[in-house]
Amino acid sequence: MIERDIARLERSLELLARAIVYPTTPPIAEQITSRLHDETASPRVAPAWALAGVAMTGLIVLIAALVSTVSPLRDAVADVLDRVNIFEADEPSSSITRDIEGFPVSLNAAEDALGFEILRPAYPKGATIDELLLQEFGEVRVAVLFVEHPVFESFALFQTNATVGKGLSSTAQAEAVEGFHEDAFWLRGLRIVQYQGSDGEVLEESIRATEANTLVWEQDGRVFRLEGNLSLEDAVLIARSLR
Amino acid sequence: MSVRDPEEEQTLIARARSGDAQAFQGLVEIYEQQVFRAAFLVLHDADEARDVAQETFMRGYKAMSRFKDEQPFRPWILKIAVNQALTTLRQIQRRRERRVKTSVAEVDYTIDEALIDRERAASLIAALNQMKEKERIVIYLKYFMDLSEKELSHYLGCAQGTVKSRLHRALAKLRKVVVDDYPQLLEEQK
Repeated sequence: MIERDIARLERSLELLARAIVYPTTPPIAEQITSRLHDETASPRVAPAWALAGVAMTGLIVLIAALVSTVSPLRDAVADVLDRVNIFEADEPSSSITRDIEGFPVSLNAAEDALGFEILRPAYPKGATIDELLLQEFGEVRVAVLFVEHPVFESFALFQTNATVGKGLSSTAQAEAVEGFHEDAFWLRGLRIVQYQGSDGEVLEESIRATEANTLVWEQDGRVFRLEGNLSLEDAVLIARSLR
Repeated sequence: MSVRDPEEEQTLIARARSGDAQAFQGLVEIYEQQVFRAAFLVLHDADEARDVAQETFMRGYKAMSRFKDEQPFRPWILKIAVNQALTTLRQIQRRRERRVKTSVAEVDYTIDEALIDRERAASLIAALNQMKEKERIVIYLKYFMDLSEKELSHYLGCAQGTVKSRLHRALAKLRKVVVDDYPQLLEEQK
């Protein structure tokens, strides 16, 4: 019965797919030609230097010494690396907050605000969501799950579809982590976390400092961050258990 | 250039990876229609879909150095397009500058009624719009964009066997929506 229904639906989908008369495709190639010409005519940070480190050594520490203070350069670096941007920065000043701020919401409210399903960890077994916060920085929204366990280290899981920047101080390290479909990095040491709006501008109000071990990775157009006193092995197990 | 010539495409990809903008434009010419249509399926709006298509190719160009040799180009560029379209959709919903068209009456597709009658098409589109985003996208990619299971496995980042189960799960969810709200879709089409 169910399989028969599904077969009928498949047939209807195939018919609908053939029946839709799409609007005429606009001359996108022409517009791209013009935009690429404009881009190549203006000075840019070359992607090759930024990405070679990931591919060749598995270790990425991007050199952009003025990045935390010179906005155009910081934005240029961010532009190169898609949704997870890691750059070298000055030591965060003591005035930068280390608190994870937001307002408590229900899971449904967070999903409505973000427009996607919030994933939860199935590992470690017995872990519970202690609190869910929604952070809002301009147009950017971030869900933060605080996860507790009777014996396991507690941790925070951040989920967003915004671009996340990590500014590493001289004592911080970032290593590429293998085994993820998209980019993943393991970060340690003092650093700043920040978000960017859709126009690429850094949202100053989102800047926060942290020293907690962090696994950050991209998945299906979203950025996930696991933050806490976790080992890399446990962080990877938690990341792979998200449902 | 609209017909896919695999050898020529591979040449264009190799040149584009090394920063050849002209080669990348060749890829845009091959895929502009598919990218535009994928965005249109998500957004139901030709102007928004055009903007998303442009942004998709600009992001794709910047990300070409990360493109891996062994992966097919089509699911890669469609993934950028769908993610970009979903981001745009959320921005529209958040800004509430205008309501996103999701109901049967509002989705103004032009339908070839020789293939499927208008009411049936509208009900099916409405049922799809009631599904979760990621389930709906899998169906769009398989049935509307005609991605193979291999291409879908690259898009979804999973094994081909998992693609079958993801598709079946999505279709089962669609069936549930249809049973609840559009049972006429399960009647044999005349």
